[in-house]
Amino acid sequence: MTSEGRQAETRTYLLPLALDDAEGNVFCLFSQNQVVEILGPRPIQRIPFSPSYLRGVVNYFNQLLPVINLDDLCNRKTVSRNEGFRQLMVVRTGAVDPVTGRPLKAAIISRTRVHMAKFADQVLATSFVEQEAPTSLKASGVLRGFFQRQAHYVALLDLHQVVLGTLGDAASTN
Amino acid sequence: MMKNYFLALIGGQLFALGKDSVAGIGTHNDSRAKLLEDKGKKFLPLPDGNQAIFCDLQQVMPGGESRRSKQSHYLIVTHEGQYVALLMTGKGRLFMADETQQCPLPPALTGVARKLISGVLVNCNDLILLLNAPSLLKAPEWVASGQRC
Repeated sequence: MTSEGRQAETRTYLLPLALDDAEGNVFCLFSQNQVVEILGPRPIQRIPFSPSYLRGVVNYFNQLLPVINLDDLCNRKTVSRNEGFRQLMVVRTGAVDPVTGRPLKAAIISRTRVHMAKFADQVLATSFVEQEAPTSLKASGVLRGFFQRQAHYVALLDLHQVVLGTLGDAASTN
Repeated sequence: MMKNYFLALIGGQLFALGKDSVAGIGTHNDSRAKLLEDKGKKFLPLPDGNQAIFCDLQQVMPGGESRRSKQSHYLIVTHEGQYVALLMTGKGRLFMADETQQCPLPPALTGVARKLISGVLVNCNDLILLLNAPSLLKAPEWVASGQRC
């Protein structure tokens, strides 16, 4: 295939989401630009009085990252599942620390191995159909978009408010 | 600047607070150290006649019941004449650390979590949470009211 004929592809990372009120497989999609590194299991320092979706902090190159459990974040009205995890995905959130000005990263818990998928840009543009999101996702306060492709559903989340500590409990009552 | 800290293991996590804030150590479930209950609050009578408000920080750690560890001792913390008895695993120990090397909590952690934890000491893979003694006095109330950040 010549370079002109080769289609541009975007690499994505798909993290399975366990939603109480969704049928079918739901994944949270992160672009290659968002993902910094995928780490194996390591100790997480739990913080007293933190919400269940914030599992604690980990040390990542002398930076403390909040550890986020998206299952708990998206099912905030149910009791925390508190299962073990297989991987930690370090992501750029796009938010900036208001005190230091440093870009804020976060570590996302994955119960299973994170899936990687490459999509041609044209596929990304045409084959993902926007759908009505499950109530739990809408109430999470972090949903940016919810799409279907074939039998799978994909959620795009905005973690700005989580890493800035501004999410609060209001989102769960929306 | 080097400072003496007391290191305590609570709920499987490492916590530290200034040595000056530690009034003593007690044994949990000792016949001489029985908890008293008054208006829903639990108190530990101290040998000098004072009372320490009982507090189990493990109750408010994310992770819940399944990750509970056995706690064998009390850490008696004092601040301005008031006392708190924290449940911990083992007797704890003293250590020295450079207090200027502490890191702040990420901004994601707010509210009472941030009030209680004044910073984090990084020791290789271990993270040691620095407890704020004045806030610790309010912790039993926060535990009772189920506060979260």
